[in-house]
Amino acid sequence: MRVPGDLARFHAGLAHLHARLEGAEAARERLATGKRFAAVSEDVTAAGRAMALRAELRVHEQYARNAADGAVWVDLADTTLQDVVGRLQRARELAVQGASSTNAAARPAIAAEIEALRDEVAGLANRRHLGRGLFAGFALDDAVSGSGGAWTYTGDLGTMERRVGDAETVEVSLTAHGVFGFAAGQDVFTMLDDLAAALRAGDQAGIRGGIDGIDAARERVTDGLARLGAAGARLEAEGVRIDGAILAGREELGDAEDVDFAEAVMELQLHEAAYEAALAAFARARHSSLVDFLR
Amino acid sequence: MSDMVGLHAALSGLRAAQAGIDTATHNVANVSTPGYTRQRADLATRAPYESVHGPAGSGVDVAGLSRARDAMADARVRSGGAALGEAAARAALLAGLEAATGEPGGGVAAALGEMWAAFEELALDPSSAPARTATLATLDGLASEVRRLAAAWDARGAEAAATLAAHVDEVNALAVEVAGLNEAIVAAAGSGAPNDLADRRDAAVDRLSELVGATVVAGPGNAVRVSVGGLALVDGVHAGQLALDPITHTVLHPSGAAVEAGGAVGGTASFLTDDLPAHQAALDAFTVALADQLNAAHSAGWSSATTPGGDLFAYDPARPAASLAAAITDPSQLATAATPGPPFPVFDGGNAAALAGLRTAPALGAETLDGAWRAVVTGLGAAAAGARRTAESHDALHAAAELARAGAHGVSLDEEMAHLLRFQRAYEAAARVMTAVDEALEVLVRRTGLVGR
Repeated sequence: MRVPGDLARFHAGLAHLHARLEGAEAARERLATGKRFAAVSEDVTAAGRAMALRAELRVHEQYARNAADGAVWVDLADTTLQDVVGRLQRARELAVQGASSTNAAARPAIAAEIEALRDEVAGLANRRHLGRGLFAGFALDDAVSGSGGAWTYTGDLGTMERRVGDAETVEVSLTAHGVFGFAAGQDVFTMLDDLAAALRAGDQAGIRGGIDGIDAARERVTDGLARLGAAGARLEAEGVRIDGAILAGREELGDAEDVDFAEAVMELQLHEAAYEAALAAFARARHSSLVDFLR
Repeated sequence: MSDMVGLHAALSGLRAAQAGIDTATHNVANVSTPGYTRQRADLATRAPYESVHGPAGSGVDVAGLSRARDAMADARVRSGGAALGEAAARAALLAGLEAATGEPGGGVAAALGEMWAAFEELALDPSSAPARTATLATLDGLASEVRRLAAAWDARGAEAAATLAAHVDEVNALAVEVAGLNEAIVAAAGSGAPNDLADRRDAAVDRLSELVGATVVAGPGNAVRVSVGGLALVDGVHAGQLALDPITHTVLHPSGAAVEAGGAVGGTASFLTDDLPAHQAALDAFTVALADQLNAAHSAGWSSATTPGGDLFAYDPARPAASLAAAITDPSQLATAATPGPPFPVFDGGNAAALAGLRTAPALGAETLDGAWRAVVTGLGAAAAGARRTAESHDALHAAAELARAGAHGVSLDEEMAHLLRFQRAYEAAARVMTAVDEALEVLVRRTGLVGR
């Protein structure tokens, strides 16, 4: 076989140089960007996986935010209901004092304090966070309002939910409708009003009924606290799970699209050595010619 | 008499050596000329003359100057060039489409992710004006990203169509050139082989095969006949002109028949008629699924006690991706509530949560919107990767065929130096023969009649 002529050898040599340089450049770019591929077509499977993982990661970060936001609402409702329990405790003590016949003279004062406690509980029921009633459902208004001795629930029955997984949601709010007894037809405010009236009138049966009512109301609030506690515990557990999923997702995404730096550096050195060798071979091949050896 | 023949024979040797040196000089001068074919002075013995001893040699003739051309090597390079031209054109165009997506890491996938997150954020606090504005911005962002991609793909299509037209123009110009060279070569045939013209014609035919996958057969009188897809493009001195249908991107023969073109023209045309419409259809299908699904979910919600949510996205069914736009511009029109009340549940993010939940709902067949988009991107990526691999393998084959042909055709300086040396020596030897004959004649001329004096 004939050895290719000078021009062909020159072009073939150049093509080899070009190929080596391309390899070195690709290795250099992988090292500089830290990514195994710049276009989907360089590794279709890995790129598809990386896209799915990145979308998953983005949504998990949002779930973590959802869980943290839900925990704030649960904590606020929890502390507020603890305060309510304290007020009801105090009201019960006062009612027991008022029931004793030795304290007949103090009854009007006790009634006045009961009414003050009622207003405090109403204030707690209408507590807001970011302009939004803790116990008012989705409504813009206060949760409870009393005018002319009649107490009504002015919120709605909406329950806040926080999504913490693709199919998992956690309820993070209670309505005053349930927790303050409007649903059962014996709201705590009317009950306290009746108790104060019974104390003023010295109506022993009414006072005893009031004490029973306070016990029932306290039970409802404690129920609510238990539900909030369960929601809080669930949010905490989901938060831990989501953080774990985010970490695992980042690691997996890294495996799918990031270069192994030690390997990439080795690869770059290999490519550069090959390029230099090709350069040296090209330079030497151009040297020798019969032209040099003729007189 | 025989002495005179000796002088003539020596002279013919001198001339032959001179022709050899001239040819080697021409070869050396063209060592870097692309497409140049090494030439040789073909030597042949002269017709013998009748001497007293019988037929005797009378010297050497230069029979002609021939090109070291290998038709098989040419055919291999040209069929390789046609396949490479087709694959490379398609690979480059698909790579352009792929680059326009901005994936992985950017583009529509990122915009989709931002939209889902914005819906979740809106569900946390539907009354928040910043959250509403931000959600609207992500809808705008997603729609403009889809529109941008559709426009970029349209632009790639327009560029490909312009390239196709330019290629067809070049093919027509080359056809005229080949026909002109045919004419010149046939006309010059009487006055010796027009090797350098033939080289130019071969280069033009090489380019033609890369462009349209032309095939060549030798015609009468050193002319060639070039055909594309079985239809004649150049026949002797007649050059046909191809036309292009700008709508269907079909290449048309002067006879009106559609040409099965190969080469870069074939690759570009198949990209325009098959690849681009398929990928555009996938993008449109994704766009329609996206808009329809989000519109349906948004319409199920309420933005106030009396206003149900309308469409979130608007598009023109004739060209969905290119016309996708957010249908609402006022953040208060976002239907975040699942019920209208009454009274209107201001803080109800139920429908915003439902919109966010669409992320995991099937939208296009069994695929979610994220999955459908991934399918668009990976489908394009796989097509681009396949086209690139095909182009790379054709490139290697074509390079090998070209190197082999260059071996047969190209000028080697070492070889020319050796030939130069050989002819130089032959020239010197012929000159010496002439001197010897001259000396013999001198003896004859000066000494005749002086014998015995």
